[in-house]
Amino acid sequence: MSLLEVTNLRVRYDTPRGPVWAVDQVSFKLDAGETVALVGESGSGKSTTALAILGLVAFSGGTVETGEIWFGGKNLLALREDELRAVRASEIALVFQDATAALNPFLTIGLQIAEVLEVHRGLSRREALVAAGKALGDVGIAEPEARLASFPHELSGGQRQRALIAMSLIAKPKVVIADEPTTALDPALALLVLDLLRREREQNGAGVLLVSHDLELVASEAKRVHVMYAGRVAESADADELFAAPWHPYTAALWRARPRLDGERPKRLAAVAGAPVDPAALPTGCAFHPRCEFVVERCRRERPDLSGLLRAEGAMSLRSGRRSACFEKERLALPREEASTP
Amino acid sequence: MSSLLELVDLTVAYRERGGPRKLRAVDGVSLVFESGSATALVGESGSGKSTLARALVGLVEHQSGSIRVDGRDVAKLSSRELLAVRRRIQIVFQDPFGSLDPRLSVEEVLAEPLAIHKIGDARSRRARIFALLEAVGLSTQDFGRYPHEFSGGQRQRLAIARALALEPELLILDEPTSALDVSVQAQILNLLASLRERFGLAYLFITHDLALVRQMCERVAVMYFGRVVEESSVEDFFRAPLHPYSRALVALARRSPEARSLLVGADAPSPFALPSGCTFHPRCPQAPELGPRCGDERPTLARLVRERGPSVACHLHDAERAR
Repeated sequence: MSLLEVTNLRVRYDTPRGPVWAVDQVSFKLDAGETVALVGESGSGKSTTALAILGLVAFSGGTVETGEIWFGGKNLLALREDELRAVRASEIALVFQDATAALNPFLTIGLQIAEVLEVHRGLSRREALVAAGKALGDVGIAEPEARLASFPHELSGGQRQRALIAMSLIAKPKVVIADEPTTALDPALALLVLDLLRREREQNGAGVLLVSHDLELVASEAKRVHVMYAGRVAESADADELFAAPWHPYTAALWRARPRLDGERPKRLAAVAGAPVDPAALPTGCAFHPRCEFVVERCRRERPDLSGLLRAEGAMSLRSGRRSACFEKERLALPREEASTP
Repeated sequence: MSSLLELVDLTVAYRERGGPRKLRAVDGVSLVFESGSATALVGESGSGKSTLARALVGLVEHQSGSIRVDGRDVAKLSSRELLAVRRRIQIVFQDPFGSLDPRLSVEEVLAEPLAIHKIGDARSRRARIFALLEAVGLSTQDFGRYPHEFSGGQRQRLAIARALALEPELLILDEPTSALDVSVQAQILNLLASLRERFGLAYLFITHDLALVRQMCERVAVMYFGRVVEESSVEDFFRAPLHPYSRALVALARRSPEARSLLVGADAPSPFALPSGCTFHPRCPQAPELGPRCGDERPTLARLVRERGPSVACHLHDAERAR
């Protein structure tokens, strides 16, 4: 059984422009010791999915309409708030992006970290502070015991980021949700955060759910990737397969559109036409069809389901669980059989 | 190519909020921008790159050194001459949501700079605005719309149109695509590439994204705590970065495993307590080989012997300096 399993999740927000389904029919699994990525642009539903796992959709003004989120033999969506609170922070932790905003400026670093253990593990203040000191040392903070008495503003940016991660991970959570964990960080700090997440996964067997818009990051960190567009999963595959040969035109377009550090430097980038989807005004049929170079008539009328390939070669996809929500996926997946596409 | 803009030993200092300490956000920077060239200014947060950009358009004052346009120090210009210089150097900010006044329609956004600089009459301004909208890929039907009706990408197009309204020669682009989605970023970068060809513009890209630098620029300057530590062609920079800090930045961007060994510790120093000598020396893996020089003596930016070669501020290259 998987560590975390999300099935058929659907989240609605009622907006002045009518109901918006920020997440629609989203299903995926996360196993212990692996990193799974939700990747997509603004409006894709990736962050709302993370909120749902943390049980925070209601606080953001949304409603979980359908779905189940199984963790530790329980459906999180059926738990009471107090039960959920016990799970949050101790078993499912969120790594925030902005350490300055996430830390309380009026409390010492030591007290903030110790509080997690006092509340969730029932440790005494003294025991919790000892553990907090050790946790700060583990994330590479020099003189950790002395730093326990520091306030956030007395630390450097790098030390604050380390302290925040120590706090997120001190209760040894089984699932770590990292929502754009490195976006605002300088490259050296980003590397540190990724190293700490990797260590948590490898040494403590945590499952990491990486939520990001950064394809390069996802390609290097995640084992399995779910590309989201307009609230739905457009494509699911192992990271190496996905970026070697995407099965969804959106994934292919995104991957081609980015400027590169190595290899050929084109005169112009292969830009994706049109604007990111407006969740409150979804096109009919496939939500990506107005921007898609593979569009056929059916795409304007029907919404494609997420599925494997139909042809014989598709047997491989059944085994690897590789799926794409595109009527024309065979043209991408098996290009040799087709006349070259425009 | 001729030099359009030249910075000579430019220094911009801020006073700490509520405190006595001073911070040199830009510390003795000398750089030359040629007409029609595209230069990138890269560095981590706090490196001073955005402060430098703001100083170039007069949004912050510099304490010493000079900004020269066509060889003339802008501090010594009359207010009328200064207005003419401002017209030639325009800036586009990172956040198109914050940089556009929500109360102004597209027409008003674009008419404002023309009015301030007293260019044309109502009729010719209207024609100019239509031409600007066309140039940035917006519709002339967008004329009466307001920024909130636009997507992020369209807003950035509008911000670019506003910067182009005065027919500048140099456009400063401060992280122009970092607030945009990946699929939209490429559209805006392609637009900028076309505009540069069409109008013969020079660009100064302020960015931390090295892939963008490689796609869009020919020259690159690396800043570290207010100082330029390397200036070279983009080609040289990616093939063989010279400064140990540049090497670390390139390796980090490539997600190369050796990146971990190129920076000693992940933590940058406090800007209020910068190390002596070379600011980078406590994080530099090569400083120990060079002995006490790195901690004692501040290396100056000097061109290496090669023709139009790179400049670097590092004692490792002391022997190769051009005399």
